[in-house]
Amino acid sequence: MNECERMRDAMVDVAAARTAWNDHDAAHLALCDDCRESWTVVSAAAQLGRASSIDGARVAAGLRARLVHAPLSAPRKRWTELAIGVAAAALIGLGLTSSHRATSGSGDRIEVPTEQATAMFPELEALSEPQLKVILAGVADADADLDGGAAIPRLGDLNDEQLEELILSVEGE
Amino acid sequence: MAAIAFELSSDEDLVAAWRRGDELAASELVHRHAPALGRYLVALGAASSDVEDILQDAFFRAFRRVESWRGEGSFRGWLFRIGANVLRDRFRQGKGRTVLSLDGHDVAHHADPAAELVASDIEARLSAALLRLPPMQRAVFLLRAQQGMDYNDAARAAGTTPGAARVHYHHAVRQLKEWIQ
Repeated sequence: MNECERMRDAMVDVAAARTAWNDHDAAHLALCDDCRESWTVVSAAAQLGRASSIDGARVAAGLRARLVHAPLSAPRKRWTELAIGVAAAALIGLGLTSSHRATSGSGDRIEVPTEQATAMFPELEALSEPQLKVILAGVADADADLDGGAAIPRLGDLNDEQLEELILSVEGE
Repeated sequence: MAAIAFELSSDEDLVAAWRRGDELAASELVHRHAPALGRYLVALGAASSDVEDILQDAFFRAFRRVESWRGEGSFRGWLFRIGANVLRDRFRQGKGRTVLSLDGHDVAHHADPAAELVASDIEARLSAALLRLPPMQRAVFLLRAQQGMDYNDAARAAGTTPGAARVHYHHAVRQLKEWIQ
């Protein structure tokens, strides 16, 4: 870092009145056109908008009104319940399918008509493709376990990360 | 007494109080950060007449998602990032009056002449020049020069790394000098 770059970094603290120029820097500033021009820009930026009057009380009052009408925890809770419900439905479906596979004595995948699948799990129809992919990823993991002779999957087969991803995708954030 | 205690509290303590359901803590956070965040949003291109609405949206979103702030960076840096995201969403929805893109397209003009009238000549020129900067340079420069953030906080607020923030800041200063002189 050269001297002028160091000065440009130091300008932020001086412009914010957290410190003042020391003798060395003041002397450099007096002699260096480049730094004086930089200081003009940085010090002007520090003043930008200081004349504006943001009414913090009005913002806070408006915010309070919105918070009253939209309790904070409710949306996340609702979406969490939806996500868990959908995941549970998908996993129960997988369990039924796997049980059928086991009793049929065949390792072949059972084809379920689309209409039948959506009738079984109407919640799935409301989900977008990315949301369905998250669920399928969890189902695929459980399916792999089944093929290895593990027990029928349970609700916990969607890990925290997958659930969080699903929740965020449902909330659109 | 509670209000005085809150004034002396750190952001972390206020967030913890808000999580316990203390609405006064939320109000204190708004009073503490709304003016600076508002200045930042206007410098990014928000119309002065819209800024209080944008602030409300930003704080609402922040309080809704406050559990996702885990204290690894400053609350202020996290809040400023949310504010910039709210502004960007508004422009995408066509609610912003200023013709400005935060996505790297470009800027036609600043639509808030009243605010420019009260600014000094150098500030008016700087405001105009800022809107010619690439979005990330503009954001990092403002977070540093206008808001006085260090590189770590500025990086978190702008969604980049401290090293990249440093490069953006120095590029921005050099470019602004050229345009303003």
